[in-house]
Order: sequence, then structure tokens, then C-alpha cells
Amino acid sequence: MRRFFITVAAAVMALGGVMAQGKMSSLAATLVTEKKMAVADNGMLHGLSRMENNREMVDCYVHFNSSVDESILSKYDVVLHAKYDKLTMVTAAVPVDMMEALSNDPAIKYVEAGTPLKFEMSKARPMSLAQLVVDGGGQLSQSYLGRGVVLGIVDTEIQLNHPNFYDTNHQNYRIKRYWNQNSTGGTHPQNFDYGAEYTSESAIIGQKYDFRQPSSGHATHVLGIAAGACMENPNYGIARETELVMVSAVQTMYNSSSTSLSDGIKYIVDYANSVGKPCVVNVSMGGFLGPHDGTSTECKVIDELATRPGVLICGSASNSGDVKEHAKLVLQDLDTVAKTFLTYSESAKIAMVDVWGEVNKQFAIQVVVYNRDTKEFVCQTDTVTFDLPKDVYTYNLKQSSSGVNVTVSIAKSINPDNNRGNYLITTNLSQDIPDRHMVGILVYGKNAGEVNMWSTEDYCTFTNYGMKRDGWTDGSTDMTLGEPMGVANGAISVGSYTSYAQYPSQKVGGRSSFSSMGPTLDGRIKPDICAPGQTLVSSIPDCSSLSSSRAEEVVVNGNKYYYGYMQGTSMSSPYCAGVMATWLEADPTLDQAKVKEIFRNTAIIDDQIGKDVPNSKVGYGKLNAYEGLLWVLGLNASVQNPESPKVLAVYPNPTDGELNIGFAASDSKVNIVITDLSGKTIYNNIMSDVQPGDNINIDLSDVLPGAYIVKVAGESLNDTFKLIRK
Amino acid sequence: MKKVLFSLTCLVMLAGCSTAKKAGEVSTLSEELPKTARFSNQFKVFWNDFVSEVKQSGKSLKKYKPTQEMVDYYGLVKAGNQYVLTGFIQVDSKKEDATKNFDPEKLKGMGITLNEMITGIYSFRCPLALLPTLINQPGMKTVEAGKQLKPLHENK
Repeated sequence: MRRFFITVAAAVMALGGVMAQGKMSSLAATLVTEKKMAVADNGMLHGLSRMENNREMVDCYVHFNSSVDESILSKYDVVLHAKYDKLTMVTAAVPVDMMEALSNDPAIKYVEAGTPLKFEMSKARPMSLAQLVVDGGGQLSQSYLGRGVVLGIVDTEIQLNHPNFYDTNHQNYRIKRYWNQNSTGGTHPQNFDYGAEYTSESAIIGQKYDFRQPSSGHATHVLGIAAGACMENPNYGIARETELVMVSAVQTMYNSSSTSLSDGIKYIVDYANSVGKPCVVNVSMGGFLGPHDGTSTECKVIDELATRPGVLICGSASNSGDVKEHAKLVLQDLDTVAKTFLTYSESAKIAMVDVWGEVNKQFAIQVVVYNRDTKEFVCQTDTVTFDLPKDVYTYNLKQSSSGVNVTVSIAKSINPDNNRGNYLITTNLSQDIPDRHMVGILVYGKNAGEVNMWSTEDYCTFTNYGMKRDGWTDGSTDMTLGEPMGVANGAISVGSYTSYAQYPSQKVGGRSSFSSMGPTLDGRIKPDICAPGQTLVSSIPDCSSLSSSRAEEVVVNGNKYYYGYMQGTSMSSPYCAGVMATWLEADPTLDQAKVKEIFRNTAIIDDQIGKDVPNSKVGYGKLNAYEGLLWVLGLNASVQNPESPKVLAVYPNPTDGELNIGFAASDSKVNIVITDLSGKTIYNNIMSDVQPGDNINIDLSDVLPGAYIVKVAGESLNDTFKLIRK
Repeated sequence: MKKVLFSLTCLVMLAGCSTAKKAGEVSTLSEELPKTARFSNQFKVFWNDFVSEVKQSGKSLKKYKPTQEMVDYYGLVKAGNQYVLTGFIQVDSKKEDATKNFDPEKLKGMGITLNEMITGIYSFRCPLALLPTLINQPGMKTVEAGKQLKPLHENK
């Protein structure tokens, strides 16, 4: 009888556990169970929990059944971190002892513990084989760290005294010039009559921050990825011996200005020229106004500056690869009108739409408010054409009965730089657009061809609300590259691929879903290349508003400094910029044309990124820092199958006995065989699968000095290397 | 008594002149941009709203302060105790008649910041009160308002 009761009790507990765990991720359920069983590792559950106000907390994703209800969170002492506009999910710190109860709440769909983040730059560096470059591995006779190269960024939110911006001994401060465009006192830089320039270490460090309130620390993170040198933390950057220049761009309420960007790029290029060094400039900013065909003034400035040998300008492609911020309306043959709707998120009441036609083709524009039930236009502007006398036409679209109240202005011009017709439409919703009413844009023009438009506000997108049959055009995620860095001929436009999967659905090594896609309006393939941008850990300010994203800290000279995670093409671009600095160390005369040729010949292409390259999703593929450097140096990498993607590195070679095989692509059933020259096998191992960033260490200390052959073969890989055992 | 009346009359006339001068400054601000240069759509939309707001304020250009909405929407930059509009100017090639050429030094002397980016293209930072002067300069091919850019880390 006693045995029966124990069995039942155990079954009930197990069943209850299973039921409770139905609304928790496996990891969350594990944490809860271990907490109950008082199993802990040095007081922390798998390194995921932390003490806050004497309560053990874990960062979680909390999914709601319908809309987010903060009062539910309060009931369980959950600390909200962030809400996501389009998701019924929040990130929050959940008390471990309340996690099960929270998951049982009827309003909650699922509680998912955040997965542990590894030191991300330490994983990102091997993925594009940058680790080999900075370690001087493989066929390299030395490390390449950007020596003799100037690396500059135009950005905002910098903590200037972070140890990442010193040398590895924390002795030599590497930021040699700092221009804060926002400063109103101080000495202007030569040739730029605003802001303040700082040229000494004490003056620069004395500024400490370029912001007055907690912020994400964007520039601190970006510069750390490109060139961070604090080796106490594995999240150091790529080109840690570059000379640095920082330009704090003009900060307006939410953004910065394109003139500020152009001035900043020129400042960095002029400085590098003045000290006789090659330079890389990184810009992790962008916008959507402009023709997207490389003819904007911002693009012209970049193109001109980038023609100088030894000047490389890297920039973010943008993060709208999964947002329909672009629409292409087509008028051909007998078409007389094409149309689309504009949607607004809760936060966007004012939206700008920049509309561009084909070269030398006329078209007209009208903005309407459409009633979905009656299928009628309840309000509309005039039809605006290029030959009307005024520059700007303003309308107030109002219908009292429905509550429609939208102010519309339409500016028009023919752009003389590209002979394209251009309308700029601004809509201002005085109040929420009534239910079943939508703002629509109509384009008229027989044989006008393609008319492309971009929305300039976050979360304002184009849609057809499923009414394709009624002639409404849906928005598109193609051609969502940002201006100017995503489209300038002279820029190296950098997309993002995943080097760390936050969600099970993400493929490590695949294009990040947010990474904007091309082509440009004039049909060029962009981005040029992809680099790790999801998710990277790098330096952040000590007063970062993203304290919940802190991943690491270091203590240097008795002071604490922090690291946090961010993602975006903001992160992939400086990764590429750091690699470019190492290539410039090897060849200071490199220009962007040569670099793109190197991309073409060495980029990593695999099943994750797709093999049909170049294309407008990933450019030439994934950046291959090591093979690219070998190309710059004129070295043959190995005896290789030229058809095989260059995704392997075997180093050091020659070896003293320890051999590494680094993988930059995934594969399965990978067989590594090492034979001597007579064919005798001295090593044979089969791995069921390898992932990008994996590094296999082989002990050859018992192997006699001599020449050997290393063969690596899997379902995709097939490479052969000559190896010298010293 | 005569002296008092005379003084009062003079004061009233002076006050009237001042008001007329203020009204004149505001009333000469036109929504219409000169035809001597091409203006970008962003500049046109800004100019439209700028002129409208200045007129509604009833103040002279020198005393006008933009609303926070105007500052935020158009990315106006605070420089000292005034706001500036940033942008680009592309200039025409030089003509024999010097009066028809763009003169950056003259504008700098007035308080407009100009930096030559590449040959023929300047970035500018112009105090709002000097915008009517800027837009009427000779030798300009195009005038563009600077575009707003944002950092590209994912925050969706």
C-alpha cells in the first residue's frame, strides 16, 4: 500500500510538473525544477539567474495569449524590461520562485527563459575566419591588427575612456582625434566651422561621454567591434592596433543629419591623409529619403572620397529586410493607375513617403482616404503633377461623420542629378485613423513604368490589405537598403548574418532576417558582403540605458567597464571595417574596387547563405577575413578543390605538434584524414556535424617531423592541405 | 503742454514705425522659393512649414523660435542660442561676371557655416534668420535640406 501511494504521489508530481511545464520552455522548466530541488552551481542556476533586491531573477521572454497586460506581470513581481510593438511578448526579469505561477496565469501563453549568451565576439571572430587573421594563424607569418592604419567612425553615444580604446597593455590611448559636432565651446576643426576638436589624450578622455543621459552606447559598441583591444574580456574587436578617430555626429531629438555624416567622413579621411596613413571609415547610420540609385549628394561625397587609394568606407545596409518599407507600383501598357496603402504603427502619426519615378518619365500623385466597407474614397487630395505652379500643395482631408482628419502635403520636383520625378508626401494624422479607413497613395501615368516609394518612419509600411484583386499593390522587403551607405557606389555596404541564434528558428550562418536587401533603384547588386551582426557582445558605456543587456564586465585599474549585446547591420559594418583595416595593413593602397574583387574571389558561400551569388540578399556572401588577407598578400592558401567553398583553415602550418582545423560553414559527416606521403594514415576522425565557428584541435606531438597531407571531406566540404610537422 | 504733446506724438510715430518694420519683415517672407536654384523636396516642405510658423508667431525672424515639433521633425540643430538648418549646396561653375558666382566667404562672414566637401558641393549650417539670405544667393545650382539618419542597431 505504501509503495502504491509513493508511486501515485510521484506520478502526480511528475504529471503536475509536466502540466506546469507545458507553458514554460524546457530551460525555464529546468530552472524551476532545480530551484525546487535546491540544485545550484555556485548559487546560480546555469549562470542565468542573478540576485536583485534579495530575489533570484531570470531574464525571460513572456508571451501573452492576446495583448500585453502589465498588471499581470505586477501580480508576480515581474520586472518589465521591454515591450515589442508588433509582438504580444515582453522581455522581463522573472523571480524564479514565481515563474511557474506566472506561466499558469490564464493570460500567459508561454514563459521562455533567455538562453545563455556566450562571449559573442569570441564566437563571431572565428566565423568569418577573422580569428586566424588576428592570431597570425594558418599561412600567415604574423598577426594582422591594423597597424599603421587609421580607423574612424561617425556615430553617437561613446564612452571615450573605455579600455577597449587603449592598447592591450592599457598604456597607449589610441583615439588620436575626437570631433564632437555638438559642442558649442572649444576649437573648431580646421576646415569645419562648428563643434569642438580635441587632439590630446587628456582633452579627449576629459570629455568621457558625448551624451548627457543614459543611452544605448551605440558608438561604444560599434568601435569596440571594429577595434576593441581590451584582452581581459574575450569580446575584443578585430583591428586592435589601429589608430582611432571618433566623430560624434550632430544629435537631433531622435536622429542625426546626413550633412553631419558627410562632414564626419571627410574629417576622418583628411586626418588620415595628413598623417600619411590609409584609413577605414565606418558609418552605422542610415535613412530612407533619397533616390536609392547612388546619385544623392551624400552618395556623391562618399564616391569622391572613396576614389583615393587607401581609403575604404564601410556602412550598414540597414535593418528593414523584414519590413515592407518599400513599394513598387508599375504602370505599363493600358494601366492608368496603380495604388497602395500606408499603414501606421501606434507610435507613428507623421509619415513621410519619398516617391521616385523612372528617368524622364512623368507621373502624377494623389493621396486618398479609403473606406473599406463602402469601397469609396471618402476624402482625397487633388491630383498633383510636375507642371503645377506651386512647389508644395497642402490638404486637410477631413470627414466629420467618420472622424477622418489627415493633413497631407505633397512636394514635387524633377531631380536634375538623375532626371527622375520625385514627390515627397507627408501625412499627419491628427487623431487615429478610424476603423475600416485607410490612407492610400495613387499613382497615375500611362506608361510611367515603375514608380518606387519608401516610407521614412519606423513601422510605417506599405500594404494592400489583401486587396490585390482590386488593384492595390502590397509593400515589399526588396530594395530596402538605406541611404546613403546601402546604395553608394563608393561604399562597402554590409549586410548581416547570424553568428548566434537567439531563437530556435534562426539558422546560425544564415542571413539575418532584418538585413536589408537590394537591388538599388538603378539595378546594382547591394549589399556587397555580409558579416556577423546578430548578436554581438561589445563594449557599452557604464551608464548605458540597456543595463539589462549587460553581458560582461571587466575591472581595469580598479574601475569597472561593461559589455553588452546588440544586433543589427550597425554591428556587421564595423566588423567588416575592422577586417578592412587588417587588409590595409597588408596593402595600404587597397581601394574599394579591389576589395570587391577580393570579396568575389574569397567570400564564404554555403547552404546557409545560399550559393547563387552575388545576389541582392547577401552580396558576394559571407566575409572571409583570412582568405581575403591571403589574397591581398598574394599567397596561395592551400592545395584546394577550386569548386569548394573556402570555408576551412588549417593552422598553424608548419606545426610544432598542435594542429587546428577551423570551420566557417556547417557540414555533416565530416571526415578528417591525415596521411604521410606514403599514404599511411596517422589520423582519422569522422564528425557527425560541424557548425560555423567550430575549431577542432588535433594533437600531433607524437608525429615525426616531415610532410603530410590533410584531407577534410563532408557532404559539402572537400579540401586537401599540405602540412609540415616541424 | 505743446512739448508734451509733441513728444507723445513722436513716440507714437516711432512705435508705429517699429511695428510696421516688424510686420514688413514677417510679411515679406514668402512661401515661394526663388527660381534661381533648384530646391529639394525636403527643403520645400520645410520652407512651407517654416514660413507658415513664422507668420503665425507674429514675430520677426530674429525673434522667432521654432516650436519643438518643428525642431524634432526637421532635425533643427541648436547652436548656441539659435537654431540652424543643415543641408547641402551644389554650386554652378564660375562665370565671368563675379556677381553671379557663389561667394562662400561672404556668407561665412554673415554667420552661415559652410564647408566644401568636394569640389562644387558645400555642407551648410544656416541660422533660421539667415535662410532668406541664403536662398537668394547667386551661383547655386541646388539647395537641399539635410536628411535625418538614425543608428542601425535592431530595436524592433
